[in-house]
Amino acid sequence: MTRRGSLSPVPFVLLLLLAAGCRGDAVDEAPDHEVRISVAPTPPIMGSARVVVQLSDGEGLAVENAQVTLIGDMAHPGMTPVEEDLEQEGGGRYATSDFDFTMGGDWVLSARIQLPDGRRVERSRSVEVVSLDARDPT
Amino acid sequence: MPTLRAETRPFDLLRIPILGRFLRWRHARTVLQGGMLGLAILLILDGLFGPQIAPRNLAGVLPWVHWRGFVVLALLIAGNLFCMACPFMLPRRLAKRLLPAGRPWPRPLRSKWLAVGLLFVFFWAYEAFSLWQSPWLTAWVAITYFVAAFVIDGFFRGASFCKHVCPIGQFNFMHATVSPLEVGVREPETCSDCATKDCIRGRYAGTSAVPADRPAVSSMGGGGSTSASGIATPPGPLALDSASGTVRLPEVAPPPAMASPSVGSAHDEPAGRGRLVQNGCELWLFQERKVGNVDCTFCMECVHACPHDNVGILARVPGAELWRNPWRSGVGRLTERPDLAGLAVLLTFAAFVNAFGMVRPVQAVLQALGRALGSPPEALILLAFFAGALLLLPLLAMGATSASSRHFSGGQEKLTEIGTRYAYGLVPLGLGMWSAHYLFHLLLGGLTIVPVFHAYLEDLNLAAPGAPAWGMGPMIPETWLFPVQVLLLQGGLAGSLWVLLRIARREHGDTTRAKRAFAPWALFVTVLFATGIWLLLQPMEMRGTFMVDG
Ligand code: SF4
Ligand code: SF4
Ligand SMILES: [Cu+2]
Repeated sequence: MTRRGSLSPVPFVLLLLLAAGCRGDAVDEAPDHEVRISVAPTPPIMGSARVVVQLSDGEGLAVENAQVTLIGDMAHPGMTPVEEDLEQEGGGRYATSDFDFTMGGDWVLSARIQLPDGRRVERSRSVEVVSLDARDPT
Repeated sequence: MPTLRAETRPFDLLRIPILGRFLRWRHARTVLQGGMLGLAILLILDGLFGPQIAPRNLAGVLPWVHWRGFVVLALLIAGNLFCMACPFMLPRRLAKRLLPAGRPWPRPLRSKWLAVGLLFVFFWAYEAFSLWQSPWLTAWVAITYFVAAFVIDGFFRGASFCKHVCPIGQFNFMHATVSPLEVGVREPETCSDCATKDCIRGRYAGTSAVPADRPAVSSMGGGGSTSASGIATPPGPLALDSASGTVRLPEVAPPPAMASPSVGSAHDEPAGRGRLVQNGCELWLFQERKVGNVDCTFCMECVHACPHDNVGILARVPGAELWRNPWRSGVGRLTERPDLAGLAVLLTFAAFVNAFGMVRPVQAVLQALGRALGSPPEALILLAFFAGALLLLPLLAMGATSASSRHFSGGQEKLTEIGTRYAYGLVPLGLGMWSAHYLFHLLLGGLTIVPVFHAYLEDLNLAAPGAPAWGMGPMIPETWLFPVQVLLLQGGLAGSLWVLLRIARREHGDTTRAKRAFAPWALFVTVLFATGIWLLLQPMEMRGTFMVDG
């Protein structure tokens, strides 16, 4: 081993650990609320799909006037996510009719919700999207 | 001495203006490693504590999109640059100081078989645990790597981890045979006149030359000897332990009757030598007899050690070292290294199997296999699949091709002998497939690092104002991806055909016999190539695919 200057990475590591804090997973300020994400058709096919988020509170009552954003991430890193604000349809339903599944494969759909009282909730589910039959060289 | 380099050497990376100067600076590697270590730490922290959605986590994006892509890119356009900047080797310096670090690597493990096994386990684990999809597991793989390098090099001499264990290193060593650059000697005459051989021995404080009472160069007879530092050298350049089937590798021993410096690993400090101030090659590659890139980490120790400034990073004919068969310092002859040949075959098949894991038909295959096996857990189905695809299939294919090659050329050799000769011809095609796959991910998703990093900083309250630009992704128009992939694969096929033909000519001269010996191998790589094209044409159902327009 060469005896060069001591290059201990320890202080550097500690600094980063301090800086990192906790980048927790999704926020959930209303764990009693129920969020159901459904997709049509099932299984969805590459291209546009209808996605509905059904939101209810701890008593099972529909929650109106929330703001709901739907985010689609592929399970594989390096793919651009798809993001869309959902429209309120009444009865605790928030939906979009043309959520764009840009590729076939495993997706994670996350509903990022801001409740009328300001609390934030995020829930996810995975979906397998069927790709078109073969690559179209056009 | 056989040489792979052209007579005139117009290009030497170390002689170009700014970059060359930087690389010659003795702390260059440390700086590169420091940068990589920083990234590795970010990866580990985000993987452990960040969001567990791979595309939004640095531990998803950095290793599986960027690192893999840049590794193959570097191999294609330069050389083994990842090892040069390897972060795992930085904390290991501490290990060399804190731990005893003096043991010789155990003899039975002095081959690539251990690494072949580890690579097999890695390729299986990658699928079985969907590593690309789990930032948390990815972080733990990185941590394991740091610990393993630290512990192994903390107890064993030199760069034992790099040479005998590291799966990433073996991937790089093997594919760097196709790279256009190599660390090598500028003027062979300077080496023959050199008395100190610092490039392998290392340099010691207060001695610019070797002490007079200690001859720098001692001749090693053919009887096998143990050098002062305790490295036992087998009688020949390579000895096959027929009982255990393991290869005994000389660490630095040149062929018998060739003079060699009496060297140990550079961190030995035998009395009378003074304090070591500059390592010699820790991979036991002696510049004067070093051939090609196998086992070279581009660590530049030899460059800094040479008192005559006679080591450069030189241009050479890419892939030529695959068909030439000289005795190589620290490696021996390729044709006498079934373990290296096995590594070449495993890596080549893995290139195709790894890509196969991303397309839709793999699901049908796994389901059928699962039914046939009575529906065991998925990890076991995958184990069976990998045993078939990475062990059984290559063995059968290599056996059948070797047999027909022998048959057509009318030879008498053992099949393993033929297989060991030609296996190296697969490497260019393997690298073609690896790059078609990994550059696909890099080119398609390279820019996603921008929003991911932005979001990371945002969560730490360090970001500049503005929302992360999640729409960023492709680095080139998506319609270019497929042509680029096909081009890479075609380049691989052309390279493999050329190397195989040269190997056949080496064995049989420029004769019809050579062509007959070559034909089955040509068929072999052409079938693999066709498989690759078929793979590229599949919709990538499993995890991510092309956006098909129209
Ligand atoms: S062989 Fe050594 S330098 Fe290369 S990746 Fe492995 S640990 Fe790093
Ligand atoms: S010291 Fe050895 S491993 Fe490092 S660059 Fe030189 S030959 Fe390669
Ligand atoms: Cu892939």
